[in-house]
Amino acid sequence: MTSATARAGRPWVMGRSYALLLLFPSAYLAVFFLWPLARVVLRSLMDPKPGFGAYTKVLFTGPYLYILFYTLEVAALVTAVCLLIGYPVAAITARMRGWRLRLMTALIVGSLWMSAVIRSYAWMILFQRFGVVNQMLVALGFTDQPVRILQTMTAVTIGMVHILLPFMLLPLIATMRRIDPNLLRAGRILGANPVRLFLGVYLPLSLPGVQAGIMLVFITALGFFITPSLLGGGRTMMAAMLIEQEVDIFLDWPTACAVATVLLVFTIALYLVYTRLTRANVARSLR
Amino acid sequence: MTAGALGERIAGATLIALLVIFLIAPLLVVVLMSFTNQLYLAFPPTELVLRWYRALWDDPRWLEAGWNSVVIGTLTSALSMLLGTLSALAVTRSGRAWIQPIGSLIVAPMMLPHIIIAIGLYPTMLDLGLNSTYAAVVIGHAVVATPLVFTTVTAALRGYDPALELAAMTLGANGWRSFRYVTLPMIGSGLAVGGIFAFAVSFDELMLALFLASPRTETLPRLLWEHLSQTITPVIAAVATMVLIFTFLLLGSVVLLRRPDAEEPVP
Amino acid sequence: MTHGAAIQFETVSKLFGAVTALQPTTLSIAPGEFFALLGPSGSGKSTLLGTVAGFVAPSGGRVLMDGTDLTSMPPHKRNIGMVFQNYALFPYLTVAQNIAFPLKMRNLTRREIDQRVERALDMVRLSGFGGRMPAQLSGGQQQRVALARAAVYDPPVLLMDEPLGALDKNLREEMQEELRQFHHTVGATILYVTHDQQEAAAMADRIAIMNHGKAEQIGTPHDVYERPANSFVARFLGEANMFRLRSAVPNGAGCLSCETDESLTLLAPDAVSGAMICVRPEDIAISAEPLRRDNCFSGQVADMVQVAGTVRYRVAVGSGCTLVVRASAERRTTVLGINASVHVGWDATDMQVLPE
Repeated sequence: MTSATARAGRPWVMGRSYALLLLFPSAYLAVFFLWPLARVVLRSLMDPKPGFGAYTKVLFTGPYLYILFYTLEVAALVTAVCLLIGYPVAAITARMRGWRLRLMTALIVGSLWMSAVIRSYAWMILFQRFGVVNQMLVALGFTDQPVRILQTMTAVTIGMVHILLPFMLLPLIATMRRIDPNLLRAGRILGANPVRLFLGVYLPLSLPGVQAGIMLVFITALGFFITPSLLGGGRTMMAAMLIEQEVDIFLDWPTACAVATVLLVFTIALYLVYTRLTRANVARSLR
Repeated sequence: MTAGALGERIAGATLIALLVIFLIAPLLVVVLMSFTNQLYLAFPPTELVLRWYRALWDDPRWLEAGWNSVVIGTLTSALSMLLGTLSALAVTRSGRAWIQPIGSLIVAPMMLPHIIIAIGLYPTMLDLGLNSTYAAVVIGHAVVATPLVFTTVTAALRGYDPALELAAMTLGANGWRSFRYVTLPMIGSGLAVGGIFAFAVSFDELMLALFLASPRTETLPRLLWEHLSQTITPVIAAVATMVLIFTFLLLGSVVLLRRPDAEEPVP
Repeated sequence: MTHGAAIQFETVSKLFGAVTALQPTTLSIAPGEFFALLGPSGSGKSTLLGTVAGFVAPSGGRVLMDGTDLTSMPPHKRNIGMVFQNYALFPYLTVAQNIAFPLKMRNLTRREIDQRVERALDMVRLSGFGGRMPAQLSGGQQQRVALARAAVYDPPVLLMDEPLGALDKNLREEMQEELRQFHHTVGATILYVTHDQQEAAAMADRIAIMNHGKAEQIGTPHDVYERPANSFVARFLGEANMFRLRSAVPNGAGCLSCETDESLTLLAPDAVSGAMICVRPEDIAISAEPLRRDNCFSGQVADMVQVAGTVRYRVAVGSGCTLVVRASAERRTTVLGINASVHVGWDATDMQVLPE
């Protein structure tokens, strides 16, 4: 047997090449995501001179704070409506099978991807002074005169619910489909009436989906621009619109960056709270 | 069936019907509007004509914007597929603990309001001398589209036995070959779906386009936006209808590629 | 036909953080040997196999194949065949394409590939199955395809990681026989990981018993069974009656008189010092009549199970001690019933004194 000299080299390690693949994406994100975000935060603190000047303006003077609170209000309202409508719809959908389920899923996913601009535009048409909604209201006798719907919180809310409903439905349906029907059967056998069955068994099991849906809808609603711009505007300005206005019209970058940073911090905080909550949930369910 | 159960069934069916109407009706309104003969957005339209489609066809700006959006969408899709696949492979297969948080970083752009990323990228593009180029828009779009590819490819990678790649290696395939002959066929449909989603995101994206594009690199959403802020004619409805049809076809292909109970990534 | 390669482990160890998966292990496997790594889960057997395959990078030591250091070589250069527990067949390729895969990696001509694939299919008795997809095959057939794929390029070493684990019992025994044949035909060195001691004993030339990352004993199936190195090995292979030694006194006739925890006095060979005494169930004679052996006890049959040609008794002797006794159920032997009074006995030379 030939005795080849053993090569003294470092052992070949499995995962190394896979880890290296991350170089390009990391560099890309660092330059085109992390650095821009950092810039925004920095600019809010440095421009025109270092300090919290921009924040004092944004958080403590009139319209800015109002707009921020208004954004929270709208986001919360939209989330609540989506949950109210979404929960029963998801529950029913979760029980569907075959072509019905596929059709519903296609519809929900499809509307997810339809252009937000176009959908907001559609509501613009519907909510016009002499649009369909007003015509119906007058015809049904709810009012004598066409009502102003556009540029109200109602219009914005309805428009946003239309776009964000799928975001609530999908996690809910996914979670509800995983609920073991045997658990419900067991509950019924054990004597629980429908109300108790729902509150005690179904609701807790659907909770992860509810949390995911709420988080998704709320966070996305906070950053909305298109729908509030088209259906609201004027009195009903939201944070993203404010930022855009500050940059585009007033060229007030520091203020824009400050508002953006507040929005950013808030979104991240919410997300962290959410992950902490879901981890606690998982831990609890594993016990 | 008991009266209660029947009542439940009817209530349920009504609810679903209402929801379907709620989701679809506004879109049908847009389609109907595109055939109206009047200049303003009166609904319902009194007669149906093709005049707005002809106006659309005659206006080079719409065609150009549509074409730009397609080009930018395709480039974004390609870049996102590259970035998304590289990251998904690294996060799923490297077995290193420190890589997990990076997965969250890659998905992060999906969760943040685009406006923040937009006002951050704008000065960056200025610095790099890329402002008002196609590249700027593609780069920006790829940041927010990559998470989608990452999610679908990660799901695809998790969906099969990693021993397949190990087997390929013992059989003589090096890193690249085991990717090409084993990984790629296995993640194929997941990658394709992710790519289509990336295209769809780019095609409809407004915020980043507002800041990173220019009249030279006009995208469809930007042009729509301009019109909506100023001259509202039913041409917009015609454009919108075309976009709706296009999106519909795009997603139809996704449905064909997908397993029926796969998880949908949320944009 | 290939000439199997010799495998040499030189103080190969592996740590995952603070956990020692493999203690420094030195082991030599002869060319063409069928060598089994046997042990419970977590014993380090798969880790050791992984160092040969290249999936596990040793924290220390080297792995040599015919004298060549494999440690810094990536798996695709090692020219080794491997069969996985879940077959790892490429589901989008046909059976023939699966088997052709390694040949394609080696850039053989189309004709050569076709020829070799045919031969490989013949060898595992799946001729004509080339056009099928893996999903259309049964578990046993898939495993045979995996075997063919791993062997078609004549690697000098074949690694098998619990390949029969996913099959049901009857199929497993059938496949064991096939693997034995396969080994004879192919002549490669086979390194086989399993937790099933019957499997290891049935197929392997030599076995290494592993526990907590350490090779407790290496030897032929007969050796490790008849002369276990310690109580772990004794208990892992087959059954053993174990007694804990309390004190031992030479009795002048070359034997030790031992007091055990179970309050039995036993006569054991005066040799190895240790803490445990072991006697195999089949070395204990059982009868209704008194016996003449070095160690005799009377007791009662607590339980009796007959499986095929063997009867397994549990006999209560002394104060609360239960012995497991195996006897062959030949036609002329009476099978003793439950609660029967019996005598059991064995000679001193049938016992082992083992370290802990």
